[in-house]
Amino acid sequence: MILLQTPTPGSTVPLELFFGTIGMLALTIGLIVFTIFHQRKVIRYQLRLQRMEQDQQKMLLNASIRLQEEERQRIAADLHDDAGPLLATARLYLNENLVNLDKTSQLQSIYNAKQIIDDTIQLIRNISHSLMPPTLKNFGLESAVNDLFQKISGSGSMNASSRFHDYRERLQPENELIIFRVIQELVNNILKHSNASFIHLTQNTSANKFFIRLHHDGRGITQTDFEKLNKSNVGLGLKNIQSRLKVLHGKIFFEKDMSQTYYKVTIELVRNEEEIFPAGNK
Amino acid sequence: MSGTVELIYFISEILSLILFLLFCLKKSGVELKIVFFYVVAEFFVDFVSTKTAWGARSSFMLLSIFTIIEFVSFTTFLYLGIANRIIKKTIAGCAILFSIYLIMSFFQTEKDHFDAIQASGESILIIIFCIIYLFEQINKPPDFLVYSTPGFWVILGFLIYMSGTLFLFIISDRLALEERSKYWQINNFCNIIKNILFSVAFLVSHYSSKHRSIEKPYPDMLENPYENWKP
Repeated sequence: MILLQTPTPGSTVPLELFFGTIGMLALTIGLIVFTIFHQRKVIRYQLRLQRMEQDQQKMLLNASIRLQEEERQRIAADLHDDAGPLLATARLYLNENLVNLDKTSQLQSIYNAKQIIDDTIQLIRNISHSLMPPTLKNFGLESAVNDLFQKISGSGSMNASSRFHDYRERLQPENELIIFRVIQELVNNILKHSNASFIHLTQNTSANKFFIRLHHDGRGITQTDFEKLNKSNVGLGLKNIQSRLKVLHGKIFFEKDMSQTYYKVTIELVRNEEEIFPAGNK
Repeated sequence: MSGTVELIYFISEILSLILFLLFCLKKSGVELKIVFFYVVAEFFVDFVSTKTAWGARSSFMLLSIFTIIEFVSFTTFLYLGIANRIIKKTIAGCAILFSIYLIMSFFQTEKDHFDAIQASGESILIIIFCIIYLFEQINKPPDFLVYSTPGFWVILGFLIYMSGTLFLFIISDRLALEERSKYWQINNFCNIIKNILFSVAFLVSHYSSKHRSIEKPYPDMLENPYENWKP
């Protein structure tokens, strides 16, 4: 009320003071309120993003757990359905050997048992190789990929080729395995869904980036499709690729070639200098 | 009424000083120490100008000195609180130029009236700097709410005080001595609010340093599972 008391008749000073002070205080309070509300809005938005990221992580984790379980079931099935009967048959032959004293029959059953044990060894070796390819362990990613592509080309259904331009030094073995699994999954998807006639893989590096590119001429997906599939409940393999690459802080891009003829998948990884080993070494 | 307002004003000053000494003396940063220094200077100037005969005679000179102290304290606080280098340099440049102007005008002008231009200029500059500070706070990725930081409450105190007294300082030249002392209650009201906000800042500083957590908001569920694995 001090502000509204006029000192001298006709003076405009208290009015100026009144409106000026009230106006300034109103502006200040408005500014403060705006700052607080704006910040709360930004924080709410960030929390929503964090929740979305958390959901995405949960989805990836579920995908990798499911895939791991599927892998275990496959190994269990291989052991139970293939190795189990083989060993049981070998045991039967050896049992027969104890009952039958005829020398020729004994030799025959020992020979049969040996054959079956050889088959079992081969079967177990195959299971073991599917878990950890020996070529990858001993000779590195380049050899393992070439091996895989030779097998695909050998089947005659598709022409698969690879070229490593700059792979003089190997990556960490665990990183090589992750990259190999990603390539396997991508190639598997191409074989299953794309109806392509060829796959070509190239590797190169630029600065501290490590690139792997896969081209094929079949049906493929683009980055938008990939993101959609990643958010949905289908596309387990793609989620698994995503979660594996997350471990390496890598990125993956799906796109159609400039000529609109080929589909291209690019894997981009950051290469740490201390993590490299001379290529070809065990 | 003016006696009551002045008493509350003194109490608010003492309250903020006590709160700083109790809660922030040992663990506060330079920023809050500057605020404390400013409140001490304000208390000293108010005490001398109202309780001593020399102070009453030289109140305009004391106010001029206090304007310089106030400007330097506020700009230093804002300079330390702002992160952007370009803005920091701009603030430092403006602050140095205006401080030189304040010091020069202190020596060149007679001390028989209130330094309205200097005080108004100071208010405008501080308001601008405060808006820049708030703008930076808006643009920064927020780690925690702005009102959980002591800096926000200090800035709020600056803004309320400076915007509330700006028009009083602008027109104080045109007021008679009697009118000026009557309208000076606005300054006292704004000072009370400012000191209360400074007290809140000291309390917030004490409690936020006690409870601040550095934990991640949620664990990364895809931490590298291959970390300890060797083929």
